[in-house]
Amino acid sequence: MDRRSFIKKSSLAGIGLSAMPFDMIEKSNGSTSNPSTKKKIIVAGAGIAGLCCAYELKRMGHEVEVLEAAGRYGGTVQTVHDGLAGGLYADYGAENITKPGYENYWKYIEEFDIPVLPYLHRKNRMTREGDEWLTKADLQKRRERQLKKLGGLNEKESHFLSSRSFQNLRTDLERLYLGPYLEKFNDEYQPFGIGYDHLDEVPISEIYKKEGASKAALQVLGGGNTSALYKLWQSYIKNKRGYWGEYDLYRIEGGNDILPKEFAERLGTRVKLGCKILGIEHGDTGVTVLYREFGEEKKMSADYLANCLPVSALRNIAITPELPPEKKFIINEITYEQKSRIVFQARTEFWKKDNISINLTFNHPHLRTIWQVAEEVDTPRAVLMAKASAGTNPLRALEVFKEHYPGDRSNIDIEQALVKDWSADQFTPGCERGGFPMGGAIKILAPPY
Amino acid sequence: MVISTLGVMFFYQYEISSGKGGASFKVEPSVELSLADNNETVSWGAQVRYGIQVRSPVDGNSRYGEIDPKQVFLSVSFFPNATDSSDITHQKEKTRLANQSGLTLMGQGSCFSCHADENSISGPSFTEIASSYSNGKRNKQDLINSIRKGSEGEWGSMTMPANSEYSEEEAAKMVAYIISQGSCEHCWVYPGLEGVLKIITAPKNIETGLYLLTASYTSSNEERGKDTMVLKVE
Repeated sequence: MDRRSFIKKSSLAGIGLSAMPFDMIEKSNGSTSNPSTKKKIIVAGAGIAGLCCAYELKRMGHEVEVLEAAGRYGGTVQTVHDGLAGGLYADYGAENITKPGYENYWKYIEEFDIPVLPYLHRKNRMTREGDEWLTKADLQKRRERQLKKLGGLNEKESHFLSSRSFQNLRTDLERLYLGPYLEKFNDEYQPFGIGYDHLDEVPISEIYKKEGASKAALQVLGGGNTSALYKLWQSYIKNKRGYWGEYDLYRIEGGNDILPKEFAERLGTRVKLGCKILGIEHGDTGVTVLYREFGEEKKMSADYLANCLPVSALRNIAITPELPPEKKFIINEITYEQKSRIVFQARTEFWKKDNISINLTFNHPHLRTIWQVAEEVDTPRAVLMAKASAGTNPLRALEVFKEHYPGDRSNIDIEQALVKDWSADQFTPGCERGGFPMGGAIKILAPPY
Repeated sequence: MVISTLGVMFFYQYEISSGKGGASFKVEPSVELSLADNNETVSWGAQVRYGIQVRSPVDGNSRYGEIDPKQVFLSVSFFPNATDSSDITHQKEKTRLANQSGLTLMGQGSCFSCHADENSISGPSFTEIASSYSNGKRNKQDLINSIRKGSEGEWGSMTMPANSEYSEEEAAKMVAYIISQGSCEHCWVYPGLEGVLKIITAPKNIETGLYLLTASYTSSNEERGKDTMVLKVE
């Protein structure tokens, strides 16, 4: 890959400009200058959702105040520069965006003129299976042999796959078998009441079987523990947003926290850091928020509150009048994934001496996958980012890296190991939302609860 | 509100004696539990905001961020139909608190980042773990192994990291705590220096009851301080 290659926003033709919500916001701009419709709104939380929400409200002419408990904004979008040499950086949190997908995100990339780079961390990936390192081609051959042993794909599957232009067997098979089921959906926020409610208790593997999937396909598809309703719903959303299948990954040059910074810059001191919300009281004419700033409890009133906190943070806020039991139930039941980000700094791009890719999947609890970031920075040094389980010690991750590195281990010149354990961050309790267990979508989300 | 005056007294005593260089005896940390509304009576289903202030001669003062919130716990028990504190059967409470060393060990690690008593953030809750023990799906050794060696795919897609810093005995204490806490219907534990305590909605045929709240902190020299409070629910 060309180290210096990057795409300026100008080459990202036609993205997002016609996105409906923004057109509507722009049209409504005129009316909000009217003082009778101007409202004061407190936005709870200065993660990317809170900042974006406040930015749009301000643009519409409303008065906004953002209350953030942490001393920094951005939430789970965080880029690390400190402790890394030569202008290198890495993303502790959100790592990439996709295209297609992320329509609104791309709109802001365009609006704020933010440089974006293609992110090739899944290209030429090597995967460790047992004690062997396998290239994508090796893996595919191994899979094909396994499939053959199981009797191979059936005629319907082979025919469908021959019409597909890309090689993601699992997604292709999902498309074949689940595609026809998606027609019943018409609202991504409403998976219930369209005839699939009973499927929340049925594993998706049963649907594949019912549709006549071969033994080999069933092996590829798995899903014995995934709710069919949940899987169909998620597939509908992916399909609707255009990334059920092939998509490209991108990141912001200089770190993904540039987008929250751009929002925050436009909001100025409307973003109040170090203000932890303790209570939310809804009255007849508005809302009063109790918060604490350096040990001192304070109150702020407004017409509305826009909640942009994760539900795990809401669990520790007293809300009056009480939320209806349905909402309380959701707040208590939603789970989040907990992960650690490991960052290694190396003196050189040492893997090049071994003529291998540094996109490596170790499949080890202390080190899942690793790849390079900030390769465009003009320095001989390199920075690697890895995913690991919550609570991982970076030195253990480094040991796993050294032990299983597929090249000559004496070439490894890693000189720095950093970690961000999101599970230990008191202000961002959790990363991505966890999936719903079997029967969980209905239990957690469906009316009448 | 109960102020632990004894603890405060000891606190000063310690400082005087440490000035003479004779700080060899142990001193309990002072723990003070306070409720936002300052009421001794709450209604069914109410949300009660609480705060815990800790001062430890060894570790410092929570007001200045010197206390590790992972070692601060609010243990809560509900006694249905009890009307005054003499009704509370301390025996039951004592048994539960006897397993406290397991809780302290858990506070030393990162357990509470993913696990919680009832509604977890990521991993299974104590209630779920305790029921997998009581229904025979897992025995104590399985649970000890999960703590020390980690696990994958046992509770959905989440990975439990290995916590090899805990000995077999320590993990056994933690398991004992998790099972007793998770299987107790009217017991809750909340880590941290503050939070919102959710009073249950009135159970059938029960009109009143008492909540026993115990805030505790275990200092780095393993001295435990606590403060208790009784709340009436009606």
